[in-house]
Amino acid sequence: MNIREYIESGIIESYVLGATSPEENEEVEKLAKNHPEIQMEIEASKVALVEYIMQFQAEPPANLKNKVMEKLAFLEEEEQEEEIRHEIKRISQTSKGLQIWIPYLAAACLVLLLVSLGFNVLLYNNWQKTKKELALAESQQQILASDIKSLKANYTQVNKELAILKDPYNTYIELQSASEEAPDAKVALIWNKQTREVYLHVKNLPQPPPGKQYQLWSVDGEKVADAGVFDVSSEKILIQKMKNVSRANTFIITLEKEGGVQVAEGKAYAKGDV
Amino acid sequence: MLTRSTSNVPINEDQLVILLKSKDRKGFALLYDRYSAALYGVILKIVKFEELAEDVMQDSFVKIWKKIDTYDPQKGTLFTWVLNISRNTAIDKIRTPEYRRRITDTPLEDGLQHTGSNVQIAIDHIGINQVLESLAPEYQEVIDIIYFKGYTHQEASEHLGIPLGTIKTRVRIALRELRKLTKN
Repeated sequence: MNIREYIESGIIESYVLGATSPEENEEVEKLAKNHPEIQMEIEASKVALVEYIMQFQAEPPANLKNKVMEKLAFLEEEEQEEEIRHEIKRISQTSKGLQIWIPYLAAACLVLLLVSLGFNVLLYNNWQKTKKELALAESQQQILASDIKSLKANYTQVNKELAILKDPYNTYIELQSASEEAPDAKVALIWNKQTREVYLHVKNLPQPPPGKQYQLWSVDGEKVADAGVFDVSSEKILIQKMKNVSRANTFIITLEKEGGVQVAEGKAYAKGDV
Repeated sequence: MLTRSTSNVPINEDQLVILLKSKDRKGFALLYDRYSAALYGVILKIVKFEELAEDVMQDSFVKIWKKIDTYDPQKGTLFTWVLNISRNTAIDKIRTPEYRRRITDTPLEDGLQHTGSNVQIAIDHIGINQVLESLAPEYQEVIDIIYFKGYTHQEASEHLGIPLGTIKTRVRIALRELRKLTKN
Protein backbone atom coordinates (compact mmCIF):
# COMPACT_ATOMS: atom_id res chain seq x y z
CA MET A 1 0.00 0.00 0.00
CA ASN A 2 1.20 3.44 -0.85
CA ILE A 3 1.09 5.43 2.38
CA ARG A 4 1.24 8.75 0.61
CA GLU A 5 -1.78 7.85 -1.48
CA TYR A 6 -3.60 6.58 1.56
CA ILE A 7 -2.99 9.86 3.36
CA GLU A 8 -4.09 11.82 0.28
CA SER A 9 -7.27 9.77 -0.06
CA GLY A 10 -9.05 11.78 2.63
CA ILE A 11 -9.98 8.81 4.78
CA ILE A 12 -7.97 10.19 7.71
CA GLU A 13 -10.01 13.40 7.69
CA SER A 14 -13.24 11.42 7.53
CA TYR A 15 -11.97 9.27 10.39
CA VAL A 16 -11.17 12.28 12.55
CA LEU A 17 -14.61 13.73 11.83
CA GLY A 18 -16.20 10.45 12.88
CA ALA A 19 -17.67 9.73 9.47
CA THR A 20 -16.03 6.36 8.88
CA SER A 21 -17.54 2.93 9.48
CA PRO A 22 -16.32 0.70 12.33
CA GLU A 23 -14.41 -1.43 9.77
CA GLU A 24 -12.72 1.64 8.35
CA ASN A 25 -11.89 2.85 11.86
CA GLU A 26 -10.19 -0.44 12.59
CA GLU A 27 -8.20 -0.21 9.37
CA VAL A 28 -7.06 3.34 10.03
CA GLU A 29 -6.05 2.56 13.61
CA LYS A 30 -4.15 -0.54 12.52
CA LEU A 31 -2.27 1.38 9.83
CA ALA A 32 -1.55 4.22 12.22
CA LYS A 33 0.14 1.78 14.55
CA ASN A 34 2.51 0.61 11.81
CA HIS A 35 3.02 3.91 10.01
CA PRO A 36 4.07 6.92 12.08
CA GLU A 37 3.24 9.22 9.15
CA ILE A 38 -0.38 8.16 9.33
CA GLN A 39 -0.38 8.57 13.10
CA MET A 40 1.01 12.05 12.73
CA GLU A 41 -1.61 12.98 10.15
CA ILE A 42 -4.34 11.81 12.50
CA GLU A 43 -2.95 13.73 15.45
CA ALA A 44 -2.56 16.93 13.43
CA SER A 45 -6.12 16.67 12.13
CA LYS A 46 -7.48 15.97 15.60
CA VAL A 47 -5.71 18.97 17.07
CA ALA A 48 -7.05 21.17 14.30
CA LEU A 49 -10.58 19.86 14.78
CA VAL A 50 -10.41 20.35 18.53
CA GLU A 51 -9.19 23.89 18.01
CA TYR A 52 -12.16 24.47 15.78
CA ILE A 53 -14.55 22.92 18.23
CA MET A 54 -13.21 25.00 21.09
CA GLN A 55 -14.78 28.05 19.49
CA PHE A 56 -18.14 26.75 20.50
CA GLN A 57 -17.29 26.41 24.18
CA ALA A 58 -20.22 27.38 26.33
CA GLU A 59 -20.44 27.60 30.08
CA PRO A 60 -23.11 25.14 31.22
CA PRO A 61 -25.79 26.21 33.74
CA ALA A 62 -24.34 26.47 37.24
CA ASN A 63 -26.48 23.67 38.75
CA LEU A 64 -25.63 21.15 36.01
CA LYS A 65 -22.52 20.01 37.82
CA ASN A 66 -24.59 19.07 40.87
CA LYS A 67 -27.05 17.19 38.69
CA VAL A 68 -24.22 15.27 37.05
CA MET A 69 -22.54 14.47 40.35
CA GLU A 70 -25.85 13.33 41.89
CA LYS A 71 -26.41 11.05 38.95
CA LEU A 72 -22.95 9.56 39.36
CA ALA A 73 -23.49 9.09 43.11
CA PHE A 74 -26.73 7.29 42.33
CA LEU A 75 -24.94 5.20 39.71
CA GLU A 76 -22.18 4.31 42.14
CA GLU A 77 -24.74 3.18 44.70
CA GLU A 78 -26.56 1.18 42.04
CA GLU A 79 -23.34 -0.48 40.92
CA GLN A 80 -22.46 -1.38 44.49
CA GLU A 81 -25.91 -2.92 44.95
CA GLU A 82 -25.49 -4.75 41.67
CA GLU A 83 -22.14 -6.03 42.86
CA ILE A 84 -23.76 -7.32 46.06
CA ARG A 85 -26.57 -8.93 44.07
CA HIS A 86 -24.00 -10.47 41.78
CA GLU A 87 -22.06 -11.78 44.75
CA ILE A 88 -25.23 -13.26 46.26
CA LYS A 89 -26.04 -14.88 42.93
CA ARG A 90 -22.53 -16.25 42.68
CA ILE A 91 -22.76 -17.70 46.18
CA SER A 92 -26.18 -19.22 45.51
CA GLN A 93 -24.85 -20.68 42.25
CA THR A 94 -21.96 -22.16 44.14
CA SER A 95 -24.42 -23.84 46.48
CA LYS A 96 -26.40 -24.94 43.42
CA GLY A 97 -23.17 -26.36 42.09
CA LEU A 98 -22.97 -28.44 45.24
CA GLN A 99 -26.56 -29.58 44.75
CA ILE A 100 -25.51 -31.20 41.46
CA TRP A 101 -23.35 -33.56 43.50
CA ILE A 102 -26.17 -34.69 45.78
CA PRO A 103 -27.22 -37.68 43.60
CA TYR A 104 -23.58 -38.77 43.37
CA LEU A 105 -23.13 -38.35 47.10
CA ALA A 106 -26.34 -40.31 47.66
CA ALA A 107 -25.07 -43.06 45.34
CA ALA A 108 -21.74 -43.09 47.14
CA CYS A 109 -23.56 -43.30 50.48
CA LEU A 110 -25.66 -46.17 49.17
CA VAL A 111 -22.56 -48.04 48.03
CA LEU A 112 -20.93 -47.47 51.41
CA LEU A 113 -24.12 -48.60 53.10
CA LEU A 114 -24.20 -51.80 51.02
CA VAL A 115 -20.54 -52.49 51.72
CA SER A 116 -21.20 -51.89 55.38
CA LEU A 117 -24.20 -54.23 55.26
CA GLY A 118 -22.04 -56.89 53.61
CA PHE A 119 -19.49 -56.56 56.38
CA ASN A 120 -22.28 -56.66 58.93
CA VAL A 121 -23.59 -59.94 57.50
CA LEU A 122 -20.07 -61.34 57.44
CA LEU A 123 -19.40 -60.22 60.99
CA TYR A 124 -22.82 -61.47 62.10
CA ASN A 125 -22.11 -64.89 60.59
CA ASN A 126 -18.70 -64.97 62.23
CA TRP A 127 -20.29 -63.92 65.48
CA GLN A 128 -22.95 -66.62 65.23
CA LYS A 129 -20.29 -69.21 64.45
CA THR A 130 -18.18 -68.04 67.35
CA LYS A 131 -21.26 -68.07 69.56
CA LYS A 132 -22.00 -71.69 68.56
CA GLU A 133 -18.40 -72.65 69.10
CA LEU A 134 -18.45 -70.95 72.46
CA ALA A 135 -21.69 -72.73 73.43
CA LEU A 136 -20.14 -76.02 72.37
CA ALA A 137 -17.02 -75.28 74.34
CA GLU A 138 -19.15 -74.25 77.28
CA SER A 139 -21.25 -77.44 77.12
CA GLN A 140 -18.08 -79.48 76.80
CA GLN A 141 -16.70 -77.66 79.77
CA GLN A 142 -19.93 -78.37 81.65
CA ILE A 143 -19.62 -82.01 80.77
CA LEU A 144 -16.03 -81.98 81.95
CA ALA A 145 -17.04 -80.11 85.07
CA SER A 146 -19.81 -82.59 85.82
CA ASP A 147 -17.40 -85.41 85.06
CA ILE A 148 -14.91 -83.88 87.46
CA LYS A 149 -17.71 -83.41 89.97
CA SER A 150 -18.81 -87.02 89.73
CA LEU A 151 -15.19 -88.18 89.79
CA LYS A 152 -14.65 -86.05 92.82
CA ALA A 153 -17.80 -87.50 94.39
CA ASN A 154 -16.57 -90.96 93.51
CA TYR A 155 -13.18 -90.13 94.90
CA THR A 156 -14.73 -88.86 98.11
CA GLN A 157 -16.90 -91.95 98.30
CA VAL A 158 -13.94 -94.21 97.67
CA ASN A 159 -11.86 -92.29 100.21
CA LYS A 160 -14.69 -92.61 102.68
CA GLU A 161 -15.05 -96.31 101.99
CA LEU A 162 -11.30 -96.71 102.17
CA ALA A 163 -11.29 -94.97 105.55
CA ILE A 164 -14.01 -97.31 106.71
CA LEU A 165 -12.13 -100.33 105.45
CA LYS A 166 -8.90 -99.18 107.06
CA ASP A 167 -10.44 -98.73 110.49
CA PRO A 168 -8.38 -100.76 113.01
CA TYR A 169 -11.50 -101.84 114.92
CA ASN A 170 -12.84 -103.63 111.85
CA THR A 171 -13.64 -107.27 111.84
CA TYR A 172 -13.67 -108.90 108.41
CA ILE A 173 -16.00 -111.77 107.83
CA GLU A 174 -16.40 -113.64 104.58
CA LEU A 175 -19.85 -115.03 103.95
CA GLN A 176 -19.81 -118.16 101.85
CA SER A 177 -22.45 -119.95 99.86
CA ALA A 178 -25.11 -121.72 101.98
CA SER A 179 -27.34 -123.08 99.25
CA GLU A 180 -27.21 -124.85 95.89
CA GLU A 181 -29.01 -121.92 94.24
CA ALA A 182 -25.87 -119.82 94.68
CA PRO A 183 -22.88 -122.12 95.00
CA ASP A 184 -20.38 -119.33 94.25
CA ALA A 185 -21.95 -116.78 96.57
CA LYS A 186 -19.34 -114.66 98.29
CA VAL A 187 -19.96 -111.53 100.31
CA ALA A 188 -17.41 -109.68 102.44
CA LEU A 189 -18.70 -108.13 105.63
CA ILE A 190 -16.91 -105.44 107.65
CA TRP A 191 -18.08 -105.00 111.15
CA ASN A 192 -16.65 -102.26 113.33
CA LYS A 193 -17.20 -103.43 116.77
CA GLN A 194 -16.53 -100.02 118.27
CA THR A 195 -18.98 -98.04 116.13
CA ARG A 196 -21.16 -101.13 115.54
CA GLU A 197 -21.34 -100.18 111.91
CA VAL A 198 -21.74 -102.96 109.37
CA TYR A 199 -20.70 -102.76 105.71
CA LEU A 200 -21.20 -105.25 102.93
CA HIS A 201 -19.14 -105.84 99.84
CA VAL A 202 -20.97 -108.11 97.45
CA LYS A 203 -18.37 -110.15 95.61
CA ASN A 204 -20.71 -112.60 93.98
CA LEU A 205 -24.45 -113.13 94.38
CA PRO A 206 -26.99 -113.95 91.70
CA GLN A 207 -29.46 -111.20 90.77
CA PRO A 208 -32.61 -111.64 92.90
CA PRO A 209 -35.81 -112.31 90.90
CA PRO A 210 -38.29 -109.43 90.58
CA GLY A 211 -40.06 -108.58 93.81
CA LYS A 212 -37.30 -110.15 95.90
CA GLN A 213 -34.38 -108.65 97.82
CA TYR A 214 -31.49 -109.99 99.84
CA GLN A 215 -31.64 -109.38 103.60
CA LEU A 216 -28.79 -109.59 106.16
CA TRP A 217 -29.35 -111.07 109.55
CA SER A 218 -27.11 -111.00 112.61
CA VAL A 219 -27.24 -114.03 114.83
CA ASP A 220 -26.23 -113.78 118.47
CA GLY A 221 -26.70 -117.26 119.91
CA GLU A 222 -30.45 -117.85 119.61
CA LYS A 223 -31.23 -114.21 118.80
CA VAL A 224 -31.64 -113.30 115.14
CA ALA A 225 -31.82 -109.58 114.26
CA ASP A 226 -32.55 -107.82 111.00
CA ALA A 227 -29.50 -106.00 109.64
CA GLY A 228 -31.19 -104.47 106.57
CA VAL A 229 -31.79 -105.22 102.91
CA PHE A 230 -29.34 -104.62 100.09
CA ASP A 231 -28.97 -104.72 96.31
CA VAL A 232 -26.38 -106.45 94.23
CA SER A 233 -26.70 -104.36 91.09
CA SER A 234 -25.06 -101.27 92.43
CA GLU A 235 -21.76 -101.07 90.59
CA LYS A 236 -20.48 -97.80 91.84
CA ILE A 237 -20.82 -98.55 95.46
CA LEU A 238 -18.07 -100.73 96.70
CA ILE A 239 -19.51 -101.20 100.13
CA GLN A 240 -23.08 -100.79 101.41
CA LYS A 241 -23.85 -99.61 104.90
CA MET A 242 -26.17 -101.94 106.79
CA LYS A 243 -27.93 -101.58 110.14
CA ASN A 244 -25.69 -101.32 113.20
CA VAL A 245 -25.01 -104.55 114.99
CA SER A 246 -23.73 -104.62 118.59
CA ARG A 247 -23.44 -108.31 119.20
CA ALA A 248 -23.20 -111.23 116.75
CA ASN A 249 -21.36 -114.44 116.16
CA THR A 250 -22.80 -115.29 112.77
CA PHE A 251 -24.16 -113.29 109.78
CA ILE A 252 -26.66 -114.84 107.35
CA ILE A 253 -28.01 -113.58 104.05
CA THR A 254 -31.47 -114.73 102.98
CA LEU A 255 -33.62 -113.93 99.94
CA GLU A 256 -36.81 -112.23 101.09
CA LYS A 257 -39.61 -110.24 99.51
CA GLU A 258 -38.71 -106.70 98.52
CA GLY A 259 -38.37 -104.33 101.45
CA GLY A 260 -37.42 -107.05 103.88
CA VAL A 261 -39.30 -108.96 106.59
CA GLN A 262 -39.32 -108.97 110.42
CA VAL A 263 -38.58 -112.64 110.75
CA ALA A 264 -36.51 -114.53 108.19
CA GLU A 265 -38.64 -116.66 105.87
CA GLY A 266 -36.51 -117.28 102.83
CA LYS A 267 -33.66 -119.55 102.13
CA ALA A 268 -30.17 -118.72 103.39
CA TYR A 269 -27.86 -117.91 100.48
CA ALA A 270 -24.66 -117.09 102.32
CA LYS A 271 -23.34 -117.47 105.80
CA GLY A 272 -20.24 -116.51 107.74
CA ASP A 273 -19.08 -116.73 111.32
CA VAL A 274 -17.40 -113.97 113.28
CA MET B 1 -4.06 24.08 25.73
CA LEU B 2 -7.26 22.16 26.41
CA THR B 3 -7.21 22.77 30.11
CA ARG B 4 -9.71 25.39 31.03
CA SER B 5 -8.45 28.36 32.98
CA THR B 6 -11.09 27.70 35.66
CA SER B 7 -9.40 24.43 36.54
CA ASN B 8 -6.73 25.31 39.05
CA VAL B 9 -6.14 21.77 40.33
CA PRO B 10 -2.53 20.79 39.69
CA ILE B 11 -3.20 17.29 38.43
CA ASN B 12 -2.07 15.93 35.08
CA GLU B 13 -4.09 13.84 32.67
CA ASP B 14 -2.49 10.52 33.67
CA GLN B 15 -3.39 11.11 37.31
CA LEU B 16 -6.89 12.12 36.30
CA VAL B 17 -7.29 8.92 34.27
CA ILE B 18 -6.23 6.87 37.29
CA LEU B 19 -8.82 8.64 39.43
CA LEU B 20 -11.50 8.08 36.80
CA LYS B 21 -10.68 4.43 36.29
CA SER B 22 -10.91 3.83 40.02
CA LYS B 23 -14.39 5.42 39.81
CA ASP B 24 -13.45 8.15 42.22
CA ARG B 25 -16.18 10.80 42.11
CA LYS B 26 -13.60 13.51 42.81
CA GLY B 27 -11.99 12.56 39.51
CA PHE B 28 -15.28 13.04 37.72
CA ALA B 29 -15.74 16.42 39.39
CA LEU B 30 -12.30 17.38 38.09
CA LEU B 31 -13.15 16.09 34.63
CA TYR B 32 -16.29 18.20 34.72
CA ASP B 33 -14.39 21.29 35.80
CA ARG B 34 -11.86 20.84 33.03
CA TYR B 35 -13.99 19.95 30.06
CA SER B 36 -17.61 20.83 30.78
CA ALA B 37 -17.52 24.09 28.80
CA ALA B 38 -15.96 22.44 25.75
CA LEU B 39 -18.32 19.46 25.95
CA TYR B 40 -21.38 21.53 26.69
CA GLY B 41 -20.56 23.82 23.75
CA VAL B 42 -20.37 20.86 21.36
CA ILE B 43 -23.51 19.25 22.80
CA LEU B 44 -25.45 22.48 22.60
CA LYS B 45 -24.29 23.02 19.05
CA ILE B 46 -25.65 19.56 18.18
CA VAL B 47 -28.96 19.51 20.11
CA LYS B 48 -29.57 23.27 20.09
CA PHE B 49 -31.87 23.31 23.13
CA GLU B 50 -30.44 24.11 26.56
CA GLU B 51 -32.57 21.64 28.52
CA LEU B 52 -31.75 18.88 26.05
CA ALA B 53 -28.08 19.80 26.26
CA GLU B 54 -28.29 19.41 30.03
CA ASP B 55 -29.84 15.95 29.63
CA VAL B 56 -27.20 14.94 27.10
CA MET B 57 -24.45 16.25 29.38
CA GLN B 58 -25.74 14.08 32.22
CA ASP B 59 -26.16 11.06 29.95
CA SER B 60 -22.64 11.61 28.63
CA PHE B 61 -21.14 11.57 32.11
CA VAL B 62 -23.10 8.43 32.93
CA LYS B 63 -21.60 6.80 29.82
CA ILE B 64 -18.11 8.06 30.71
CA TRP B 65 -18.57 6.51 34.17
CA LYS B 66 -19.73 3.22 32.71
CA LYS B 67 -17.17 3.02 29.89
CA ILE B 68 -14.09 4.42 31.62
CA ASP B 69 -12.70 0.88 31.87
CA THR B 70 -12.49 0.73 28.08
CA TYR B 71 -10.59 4.00 27.70
CA ASP B 72 -7.11 3.36 26.32
CA PRO B 73 -4.72 6.36 26.61
CA GLN B 74 -2.65 4.83 23.78
CA LYS B 75 -5.46 5.44 21.34
CA GLY B 76 -5.96 9.09 22.07
CA THR B 77 -6.26 11.83 24.65
CA LEU B 78 -8.85 11.72 27.41
CA PHE B 79 -10.44 14.84 25.98
CA THR B 80 -10.97 13.41 22.50
CA TRP B 81 -12.42 10.27 24.12
CA VAL B 82 -14.96 12.14 26.29
CA LEU B 83 -15.64 14.49 23.39
CA ASN B 84 -16.50 11.51 21.20
CA ILE B 85 -18.85 10.11 23.84
CA SER B 86 -20.59 13.48 24.24
CA ARG B 87 -20.85 13.98 20.49
CA ASN B 88 -22.27 10.50 19.94
CA THR B 89 -24.75 10.90 22.80
CA ALA B 90 -25.90 14.24 21.39
CA ILE B 91 -26.20 12.84 17.85
CA ASP B 92 -28.23 9.91 19.19
CA LYS B 93 -30.51 12.47 20.81
CA ILE B 94 -31.18 14.40 17.61
CA ARG B 95 -31.99 11.15 15.80
CA THR B 96 -34.90 10.35 18.11
CA PRO B 97 -38.45 10.84 16.70
CA GLU B 98 -39.22 13.14 19.66
CA TYR B 99 -36.40 15.43 18.65
CA ARG B 100 -37.44 15.49 14.99
CA ARG B 101 -41.00 16.38 15.96
CA ARG B 102 -39.73 19.13 18.21
CA ILE B 103 -37.43 20.57 15.55
CA THR B 104 -40.29 20.85 13.06
CA ASP B 105 -42.51 22.51 15.68
CA THR B 106 -39.94 25.06 16.74
CA PRO B 107 -38.78 27.61 14.23
CA LEU B 108 -35.05 28.05 14.48
CA GLU B 109 -33.00 30.95 13.33
CA ASP B 110 -31.82 30.30 9.82
CA GLY B 111 -28.19 29.58 9.49
CA LEU B 112 -27.70 28.42 13.04
CA GLN B 113 -27.54 24.77 11.99
CA HIS B 114 -25.08 25.27 9.23
CA THR B 115 -22.79 28.09 9.99
CA GLY B 116 -22.11 27.27 13.60
CA SER B 117 -22.39 30.96 14.48
CA ASN B 118 -23.82 30.06 17.84
CA VAL B 119 -24.69 32.79 20.29
CA GLN B 120 -22.85 30.82 22.94
CA ILE B 121 -19.43 31.32 21.40
CA ALA B 122 -16.89 31.55 24.15
CA ILE B 123 -15.63 35.04 24.32
CA ASP B 124 -12.45 34.19 26.14
CA HIS B 125 -11.03 32.37 23.15
CA ILE B 126 -10.67 35.47 21.14
CA GLY B 127 -7.87 34.19 18.96
CA ILE B 128 -9.87 31.19 17.87
CA ASN B 129 -12.63 33.31 16.39
CA GLN B 130 -10.21 34.12 13.69
CA VAL B 131 -10.27 30.43 12.73
CA LEU B 132 -14.01 30.51 12.40
CA GLU B 133 -13.90 33.65 10.37
CA SER B 134 -11.08 32.48 8.20
CA LEU B 135 -12.56 29.10 7.29
CA ALA B 136 -14.63 29.34 4.14
CA PRO B 137 -18.37 28.71 4.71
CA GLU B 138 -18.49 25.65 2.44
CA TYR B 139 -15.86 23.99 4.63
CA GLN B 140 -17.60 25.01 7.85
CA GLU B 141 -20.71 23.51 6.33
CA VAL B 142 -19.25 20.04 5.71
CA ILE B 143 -17.61 19.95 9.13
CA ASP B 144 -20.85 20.95 10.80
CA ILE B 145 -23.02 18.48 8.96
CA ILE B 146 -20.61 15.60 9.36
CA TYR B 147 -19.15 16.30 12.77
CA PHE B 148 -22.05 17.99 14.56
CA LYS B 149 -24.94 16.24 12.85
CA GLY B 150 -23.26 12.88 12.38
CA TYR B 151 -24.16 12.59 8.72
CA THR B 152 -22.36 10.14 6.50
CA HIS B 153 -20.80 11.45 3.32
CA GLN B 154 -23.70 10.01 1.39
CA GLU B 155 -26.26 11.65 3.68
CA ALA B 156 -24.38 14.94 3.52
CA SER B 157 -24.34 14.70 -0.25
CA GLU B 158 -28.09 14.18 -0.36
CA HIS B 159 -28.85 16.79 2.27
CA LEU B 160 -26.74 19.53 0.72
CA GLY B 161 -27.43 18.55 -2.88
CA ILE B 162 -23.74 18.27 -3.60
CA PRO B 163 -22.09 15.31 -5.38
CA LEU B 164 -20.48 12.70 -3.11
CA GLY B 165 -17.04 13.28 -4.62
CA THR B 166 -17.26 16.97 -3.87
CA ILE B 167 -18.22 16.24 -0.26
CA LYS B 168 -15.19 14.01 0.12
CA THR B 169 -12.90 16.62 -1.37
CA ARG B 170 -14.36 19.35 0.81
CA VAL B 171 -13.91 17.25 3.94
CA ARG B 172 -10.28 16.75 3.10
CA ILE B 173 -9.63 20.39 2.28
CA ALA B 174 -11.61 21.59 5.32
CA LEU B 175 -9.30 19.73 7.67
CA ARG B 176 -6.23 20.87 5.76
CA GLU B 177 -7.44 24.44 6.05
CA LEU B 178 -8.10 24.06 9.73
CA ARG B 179 -4.64 22.69 10.25
CA LYS B 180 -3.14 25.63 8.44
CA LEU B 181 -5.24 28.12 10.36
CA THR B 182 -4.54 26.65 13.78
CA LYS B 183 -0.84 26.22 13.22
CA ASN B 184 0.94 28.80 15.29
